[in-house]
Amino acid sequence: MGRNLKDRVCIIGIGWTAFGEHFDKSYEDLVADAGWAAINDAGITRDQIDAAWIGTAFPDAGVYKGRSGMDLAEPLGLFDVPVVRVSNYCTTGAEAIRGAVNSLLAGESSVVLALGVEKLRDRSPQESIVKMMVEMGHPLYQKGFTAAGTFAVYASRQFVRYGVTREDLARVSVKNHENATLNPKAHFRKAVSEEQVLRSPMVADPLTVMDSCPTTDGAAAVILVRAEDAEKYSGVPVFLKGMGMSVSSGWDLPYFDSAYDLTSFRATRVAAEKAYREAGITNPREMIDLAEVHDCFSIVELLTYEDLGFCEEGEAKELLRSGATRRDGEIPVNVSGGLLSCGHPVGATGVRMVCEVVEHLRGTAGERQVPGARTGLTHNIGGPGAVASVIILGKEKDT
Amino acid sequence: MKNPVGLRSWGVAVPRRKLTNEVTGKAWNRPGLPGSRSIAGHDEDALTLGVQAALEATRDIEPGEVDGIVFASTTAPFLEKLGAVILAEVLGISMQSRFLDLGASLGAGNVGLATACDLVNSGSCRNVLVVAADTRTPRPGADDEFLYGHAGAAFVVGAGKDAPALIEAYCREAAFQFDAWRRAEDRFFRSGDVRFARIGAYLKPMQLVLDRVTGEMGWKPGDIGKVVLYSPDIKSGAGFLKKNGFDLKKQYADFASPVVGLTGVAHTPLMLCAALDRAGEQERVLVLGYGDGADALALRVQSATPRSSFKDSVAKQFEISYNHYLRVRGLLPGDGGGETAFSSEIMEERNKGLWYGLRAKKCPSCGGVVTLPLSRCPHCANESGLVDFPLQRTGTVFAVTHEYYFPTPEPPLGMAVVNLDGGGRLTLQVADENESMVVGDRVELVFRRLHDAGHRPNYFWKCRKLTNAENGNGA
Repeated sequence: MGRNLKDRVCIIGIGWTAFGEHFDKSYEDLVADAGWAAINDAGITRDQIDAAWIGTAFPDAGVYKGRSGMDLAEPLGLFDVPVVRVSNYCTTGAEAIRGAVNSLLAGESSVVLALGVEKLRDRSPQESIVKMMVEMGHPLYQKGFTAAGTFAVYASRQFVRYGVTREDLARVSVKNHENATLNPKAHFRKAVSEEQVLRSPMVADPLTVMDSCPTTDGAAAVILVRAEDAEKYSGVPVFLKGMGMSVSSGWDLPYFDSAYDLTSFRATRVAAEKAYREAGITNPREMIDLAEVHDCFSIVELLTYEDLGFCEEGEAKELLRSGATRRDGEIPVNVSGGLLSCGHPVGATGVRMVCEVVEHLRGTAGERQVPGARTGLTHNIGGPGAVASVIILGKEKDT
Repeated sequence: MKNPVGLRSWGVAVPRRKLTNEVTGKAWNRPGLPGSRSIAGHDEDALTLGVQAALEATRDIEPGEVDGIVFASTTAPFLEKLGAVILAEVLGISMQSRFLDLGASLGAGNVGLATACDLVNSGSCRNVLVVAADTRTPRPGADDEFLYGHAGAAFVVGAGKDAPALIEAYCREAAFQFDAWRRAEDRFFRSGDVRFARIGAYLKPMQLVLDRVTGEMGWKPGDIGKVVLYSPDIKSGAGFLKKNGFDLKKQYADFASPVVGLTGVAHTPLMLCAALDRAGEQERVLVLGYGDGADALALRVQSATPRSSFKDSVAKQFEISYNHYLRVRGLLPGDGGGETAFSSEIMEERNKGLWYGLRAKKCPSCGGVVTLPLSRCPHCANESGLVDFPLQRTGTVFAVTHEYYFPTPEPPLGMAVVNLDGGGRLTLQVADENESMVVGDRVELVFRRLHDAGHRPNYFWKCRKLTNAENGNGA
């Protein structure tokens, strides 16, 4: 077992662009906007940064930027320090943070920047993420799936096995869209009705357009330092309590090996177990005040309730129906509006979630503030349920 | 013949899509005619229809018994690339077999049968698989468009001794005349003068082969149980038989043409399959084929093998619109894409057995079936490696969705996670989906053309819903 992370690293600066269709901004503009916002929020100068990580998941589906650390260095003018690009499907942003944290703990660096960015909307959605599934990847295996389909088949199992309904899926979308009305940086800020979700065009049955996150541009960044150095900087520190990351399969195995039952994501369970252990979380439903989870498609949020231990297997629909995951509920999930409303600039999402939780722990989340939040969780899952990341953040150091 | 040669088994492939002549008539403001024609899906071609027919024909024959393949088609997917050897790859037939592609003539199916007879009779081969399939496309709006459909048929030709049908004679009269043709650069075939094509080109060689074969066999019209006859239109064939003293009602029952249309090189073989399914013991069957002349086959049924695969295939067809027909056959402007995906002939070479032949692997330690191209079990990672495990071509849908944004001529595109009978899982596109696939459905695997990346067909398996009857759940 490796070292325990708890209270050894803190976030002192956050910054993120509005998420949306940035027709007037380039990849480099997004990097610069988020990067400078985080630097300013931390109260440091650019030149204090002694290492940086940039997460972009799909350079080839975007503008061919984000292939290496160079694509962060140039827009920020951050030269003569190590900068590396990371990529791990939808956990890409969380991976940038993990790399930064490990560098701090290894003593390689003292002030690090982790930034996630994706510029997809210099192309039409059909020419970016959909094209990636149509044209790239294996010539035969899974040919025919879009990202929606890879998760939609999980929904087909939930329907048969646990009596989840299309209405349940729609409820996830309704809840998250309602939350987004209070988030000025969300891609979509309009409340929607269950009826609207059900009637929106089908993407991959049973998932409709409104069960699916949009194709979005955006960037998010955090500045991290070792906890013992926190007082040297003016930025308000929020502490990392635990972090887990796990790969449970490759792109293909769940779809080509009957050992996989398609009812949960083992990657999430393993990542959560490690993060909880480090953070000392024994009862997540009670001990976590808010969670930003990976609702790329409505079904994924439902499965994640169970994988994160917010409820038992098969009980996600009841948890949702009870209202416990609403903003004013027992365990608010996706008060930001989630990926469904904020959008999903893939590399940026994990970092954006961390920024969101930091705002709540600082008590600066404005209208959507979860009152008295002390512990928050972020979760990403990607590469059809194959890779997951869980990060636990806390308002203060445990004594 | 020196060594008696016979048909050991046979199979047919009738596409699921059906276009009625009434619908075709309406599309062109012409009076609707009775009948229909079978239409290959966008993912079907002469080779996939051939595979389907061949799988049925070889259902009770070990791949190792077959040592020759003849593939006959005027619409083979390749002008340069042997189709017969692709069939061998799929069926697991030895690469030391004799392989022959025949084309260029509507008579190529029967010529293939005759060639197979020669190969067996001479002792060069023990069992020859003869596959005839065509997807000829008439010009949309042509006067005779309603006549032509798509299909495949296959036979295993081997020793006559215990074969259900014995081949007793074959003769051919070739003729060079412009009744119908297609130049190398043509997409649609062309026809010459209609009266000339029917009277001059068709009737003359047909009469010659009929006279020759009946003379050789000493048959009078009344001795023959069933006549299988290619007719280039609705009337000519029947008129020809009547003139020659046949009893149309008793001896000539063309079930195929009015339902599936004229199916090119597959047509006479297809009608023969349908006739053999219904033939009684010791019944004599006369086959009269057409194409660059005419030919005749005389058969004697040694043991009745009552089957109904043609009838059953037709019963499973569903109707499509004319617009749908244009789309699936790539006849609309802007069609013909699908070449932009990634594809690698080198990657394919490493995995041919798995991708074409469904010859997968199994882990000797955990018993897990490995359908991915892996050389170690992903669970055990044992060094001893994996053992061969042929996949079964039936299974149950474990999970399913329908993709509305994946480009396809027939949206939505069904994607099913299938747990195969006997073990193994594949995730496959749904083929011929007329009724929406749901979890728990029983499916069969069908060989299809997935896309054309790399400027060539990329063949793979899809799944297709089994009917209750096929699934053995009763009618």
